[in-house]
Amino acid sequence: MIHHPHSPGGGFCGRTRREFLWEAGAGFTGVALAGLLGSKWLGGQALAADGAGPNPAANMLPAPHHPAKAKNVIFLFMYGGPSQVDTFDYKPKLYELDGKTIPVKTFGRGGKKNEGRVVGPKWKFKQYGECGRHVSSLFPHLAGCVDDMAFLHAMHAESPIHGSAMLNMNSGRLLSGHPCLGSWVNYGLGSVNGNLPGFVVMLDEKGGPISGAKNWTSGYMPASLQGVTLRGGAVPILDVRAPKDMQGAMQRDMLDFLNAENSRQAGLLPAQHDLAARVDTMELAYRMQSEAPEAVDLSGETDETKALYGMDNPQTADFGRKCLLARRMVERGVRFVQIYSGGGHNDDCWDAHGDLVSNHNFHAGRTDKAIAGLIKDLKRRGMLEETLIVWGGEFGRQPTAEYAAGTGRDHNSYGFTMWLAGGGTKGGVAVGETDELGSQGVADRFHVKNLHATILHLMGLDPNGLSYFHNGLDQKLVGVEEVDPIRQIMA
Amino acid sequence: MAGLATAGLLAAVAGALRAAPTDAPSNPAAPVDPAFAAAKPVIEARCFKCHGGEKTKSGLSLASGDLLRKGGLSGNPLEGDKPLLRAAIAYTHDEVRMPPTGQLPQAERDILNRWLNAGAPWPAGVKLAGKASADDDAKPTLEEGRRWWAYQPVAQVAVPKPQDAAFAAHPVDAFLAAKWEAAGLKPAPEADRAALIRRAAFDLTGLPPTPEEVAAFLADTAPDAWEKLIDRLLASPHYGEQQARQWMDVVRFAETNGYERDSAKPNMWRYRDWLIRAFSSDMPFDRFVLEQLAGDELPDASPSSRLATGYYRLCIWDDEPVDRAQARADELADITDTTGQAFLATTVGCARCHDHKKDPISQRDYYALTAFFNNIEGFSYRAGRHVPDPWLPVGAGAAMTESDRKARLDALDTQTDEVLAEFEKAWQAGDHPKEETGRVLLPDARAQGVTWRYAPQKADGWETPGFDDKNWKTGAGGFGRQGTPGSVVRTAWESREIVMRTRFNLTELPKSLVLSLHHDDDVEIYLNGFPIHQAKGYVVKYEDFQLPQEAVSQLVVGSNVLAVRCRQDFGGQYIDAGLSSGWATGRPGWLARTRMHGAQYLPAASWKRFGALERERAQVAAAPAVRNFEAQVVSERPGPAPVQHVLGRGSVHNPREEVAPNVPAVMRPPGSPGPAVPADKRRLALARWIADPANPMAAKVYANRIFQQHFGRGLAPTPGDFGKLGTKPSHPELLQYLGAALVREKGSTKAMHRLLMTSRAYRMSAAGPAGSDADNNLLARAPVRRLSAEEFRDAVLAASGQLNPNVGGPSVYAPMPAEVLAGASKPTEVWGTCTPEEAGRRSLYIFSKRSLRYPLLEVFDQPDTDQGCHARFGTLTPTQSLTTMNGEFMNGSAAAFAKRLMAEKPGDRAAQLRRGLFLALCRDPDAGTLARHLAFLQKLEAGGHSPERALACVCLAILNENAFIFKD
Repeated sequence: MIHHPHSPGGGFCGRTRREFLWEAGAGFTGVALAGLLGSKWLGGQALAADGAGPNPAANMLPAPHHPAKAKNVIFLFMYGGPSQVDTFDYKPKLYELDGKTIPVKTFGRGGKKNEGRVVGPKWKFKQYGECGRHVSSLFPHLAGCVDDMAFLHAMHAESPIHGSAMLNMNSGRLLSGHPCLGSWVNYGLGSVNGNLPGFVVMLDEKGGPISGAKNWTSGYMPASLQGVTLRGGAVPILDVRAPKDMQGAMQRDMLDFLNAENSRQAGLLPAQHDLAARVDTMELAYRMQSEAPEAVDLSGETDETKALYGMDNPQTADFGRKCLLARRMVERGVRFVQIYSGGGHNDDCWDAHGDLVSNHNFHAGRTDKAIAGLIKDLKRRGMLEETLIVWGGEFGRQPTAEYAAGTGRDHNSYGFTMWLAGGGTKGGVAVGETDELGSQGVADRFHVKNLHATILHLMGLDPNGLSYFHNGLDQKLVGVEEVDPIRQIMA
Repeated sequence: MAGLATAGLLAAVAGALRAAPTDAPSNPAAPVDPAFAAAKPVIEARCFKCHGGEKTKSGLSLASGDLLRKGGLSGNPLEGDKPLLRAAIAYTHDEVRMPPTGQLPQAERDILNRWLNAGAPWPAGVKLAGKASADDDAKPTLEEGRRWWAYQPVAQVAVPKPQDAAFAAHPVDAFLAAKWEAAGLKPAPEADRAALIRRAAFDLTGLPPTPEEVAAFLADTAPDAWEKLIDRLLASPHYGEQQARQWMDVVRFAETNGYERDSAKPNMWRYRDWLIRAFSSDMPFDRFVLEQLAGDELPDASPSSRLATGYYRLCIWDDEPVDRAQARADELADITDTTGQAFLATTVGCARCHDHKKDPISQRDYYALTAFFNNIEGFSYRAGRHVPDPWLPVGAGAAMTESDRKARLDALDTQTDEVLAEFEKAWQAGDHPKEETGRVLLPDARAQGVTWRYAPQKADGWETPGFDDKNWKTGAGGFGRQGTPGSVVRTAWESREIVMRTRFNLTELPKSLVLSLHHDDDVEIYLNGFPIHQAKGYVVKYEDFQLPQEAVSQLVVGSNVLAVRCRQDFGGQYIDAGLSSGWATGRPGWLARTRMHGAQYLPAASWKRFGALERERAQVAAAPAVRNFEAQVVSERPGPAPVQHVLGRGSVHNPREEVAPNVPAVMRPPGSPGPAVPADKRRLALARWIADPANPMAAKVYANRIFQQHFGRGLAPTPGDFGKLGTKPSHPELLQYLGAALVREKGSTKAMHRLLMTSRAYRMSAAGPAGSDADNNLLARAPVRRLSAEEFRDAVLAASGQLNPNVGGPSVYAPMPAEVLAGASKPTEVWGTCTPEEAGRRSLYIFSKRSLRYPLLEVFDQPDTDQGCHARFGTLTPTQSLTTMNGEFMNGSAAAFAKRLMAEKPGDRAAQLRRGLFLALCRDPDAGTLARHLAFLQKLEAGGHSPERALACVCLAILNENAFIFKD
């Protein structure tokens, strides 16, 4: 059964070839696609209308729309919302205003306000690199990479509330139920490694972000396009390890027996491709069992590499390990890797409502070296050019205090900083400005949709052309209106 | 950089001004207005690319004055109290800020504002080269639209007469055979009987037939054996479950609200049970529609029919929306869209922001449909929607009267008091950790008056943390009238009602929570939106209440909101509340301490006794009673329904013309004004229109869904979209026929199953001719279908002997892999536990939590619950194979399966396997199959595996066989 076949205006059942491939294949990849057909009747409709005959070519990957700069994405999600004026958006005037109550429009968890007490930035900024970009003392290691980073200083999102803002950043919508960026990229491009999922998510030790799996759902697309949570160790993916008493020869024996039985049953009904396909999926699963643990096995990495990611220091070891895993995933063809810094609620993530200093010192301290290590490692391996790194939270924070006392800042979706590196972006540029308080974007403001369009564009996909038919609409990640990618940061 | 760009543009503006007199040669007689001459280059440089040049975003083109005034999706941007264009460039509009990449420099804004102040003059002859409007695509007219197959009235269709007499007897066969004959196709022969009973049992009950049922059917040589089998299956208690599960996809059934907190909708399962009962009792289709859409408005409304309106409660709901009014509009849109697809197979949602691009559904139609729903109360935790339990077992011991319950609870209290006394003694003698000393989290008025915000009456969402109370007054706590006994009045309160909110900060979370409260009169209290206490009447002094752990778990580090509502009756008047950690005075405090620390301080026997008393207390307290329970049902808000506007771009902040409730014009007979819609009971009017046999859509839509259940796809393969974007039916006449049949059968779903399943077409083998119809478009053979998620899990439970056949009741928390729980933001609180018996409940009883799907079901394509699903995927993926090969559930079941076989056929390996294959595949294995399985089993044993392990491995293989995982 297939979900939403349709024919907007006839021809090819109205569907794009890509959509058909996914609905039909619905696997990690185009490998063994012919065998993976979920339904012949509808698939056949589509193909017959296309004149392509009943059997789609095996090993067919959806083609990109234009030459791609980036092949993979590593999205470093600073969940909770880092403060832009304390990290990358230098606002000298804000220091002087510390403690003063001034008029400023803000909208956060505490509602809309027209004035507030300024909390001066709690860290000093310096200029770095040839480009001379400002970075606060929270990121001593990333400061050394600014010539590879492209800053977006006037990002804005549609919601200053975590739940909906997370959905906004991950799926482009405030409403739940839509596919996430990683699903779109895999839908658009397929995976080049059939033995690993194409969309991998690594969560913080403290747990997942609020709304959990909604942040890596494939929504109305097939479940095979959703993010797969990845852990280290022997069982990096759910059920990827055989139970203890099935390991070794017994499992192989069982598969050989099973494949013979299944092939026999398929042979009785040669027109039913599904039956033959299961032999292939069982074998794919078997190969994943060995490939996935190999992919997360860091024993082959040198001490120097591990140290580069901060794995020699307990403070940075966890995030460093995840960044290194991300590189290994990318090396193996995983299209989209998302790593969460921060989980759970409040100070377990970047959500600094109470004590800004301890919160941001903690989270920046755990991630700075690891992320810088990732950039440097990708660069020296020649992988940075084809790997797009995205850094940011679901929103930023206000320049003013949330409460009568203390340094905590409320959420701010009117203006915040994100940065990208590699994957066809231009290093050392900064696009967009916030006002002198850092409270909202005033020049070159870009919406989350523009960021999504940029990522798709760099991956070789047309953000306004990549569509999936659902509920009577050609759904797009960027929505119905055309959205431009941010060309100022493209190399 | 910005400065440079501005300077350049201003130079251009200056140039344009100088050039103005000669810039409009087409109309030399009319001098160009200087305000326009100045604005034109700004428009060209800043607006035109997206609005009239390369694009016409939001349908707005600035290519000419007429087009500007025609406007886009938001209407004329120059009109209204706050014209959109002015607000957009001023960056004062909440949604539309232009240009989106950054506000224009002041100088350019001044130019545009001067032009707007002058009335936005635009000389008639001046046109900028560009597009007119993206929305000018030719849309179908209503008359053209009416001709589409789907909107044709349900009418009797003549049954064709195929040449082959064997197919002439049954109308379904006759329609199909006519096409086979035209295509020269020879249909498949009849499937063997074992395949038939397995197919029929899965289709009607979602379960494999039992060995006894198979044996009985194979032995029944009567000519009506098949009909009798169908009747037996239709009478099975599991029939209603399978039917309910189909409909649950369509209405996106889930038991939580989604979003951040994804909290439960209490008792949502009762809607699921209503479905099971409706199908089991073969509720007529019209009644099925009426009860779900208007069960509260029916003349014979009953507790059961009200439960059916749980239909409206299945939406996702954001308790902390960024925009409250828009969230309400989104909720109504969710209901409108779901109703459009579920009953009318029309994607009305496409017309929310603009007229439907392909179907003759206008934006007016959309909001006219929305208007039927726009007075229903939204979701709320607030109690008050209570319904008497319509399904209490009569005379059964499980239910209790309130007086019996009270007597039993009193007795339990007396026994508990003995243990508490024992605990108190031990406690007083012992050392206690520091955290046991309580601390004040929010002082009440006796200590100091904290500041509250307050208002004389509640507003929508007043109790939720995100509520904006900045317009409320502030005052010190202790609200009331001087002289009220036990009060400390700091702020006078003399109105009938008061709602008040205060925020307090926590840097660390307490482990226990005590509410101190004085109220006169009725009070309800919410902590971060969660109801923690309510009481009727008045008290004359402060009282402490030990709050339960679920209240404690609402607290967050940072800002918390306590919200209180109090209503004055007469006499004294006072309200105040405070919070502290630690223990309440007296019994509640000792009870809480004993619960938390009893294991440490009590002798083992007393601790065990305490546990038993607590368990019994919980059982007695939870026992069903002859009283109302909180129900997910809807009712209308009091007073007249709000006026419904067409919403520009779907935004509630962009209301346009008013519309009255009505059904889509294309579905009304030409010239008909639509059904009469009274001022109240509007949903009933809509439901009656849908349920009316004359409705052109509903019967066909419903019949198509039943067809899909039996043939693997609908006659119209897109059961949620009969419009132009859907796929046209392969056999439109047969679909018409089935729609008419549903009406003729008085809406009996069971009669429709009988009609379809008694056809020869349903009974055909899957091993039919491929030939010219490889894709089986003409249904000349049976489809091979992968079991659905629920069918697969339930079949594993059945084969392995673990199935718990109980029907209905609260959902269960089947065991969830720890790795999956780790992905939640509150891993220890997000999922419950269940007993081994509950773990064997059928899959439709697994708690449906939006942010935490059950992995085994998800990997088998159980759909996402945020939107309706009308036809599932049937994928085969490597992760699915990992689950079926390595998953805990599968391996545990294989072991149980092996154990069962060894117990049933002790010592006889061949008999064990024969039985195992029969249980799993519902047929006696042929000699070869049995021999191969036996050889594999012997190989494993020869390899040194224990008999039990070896058999479990073969059982796991059987549960992975195609013959198990597919139905043919």
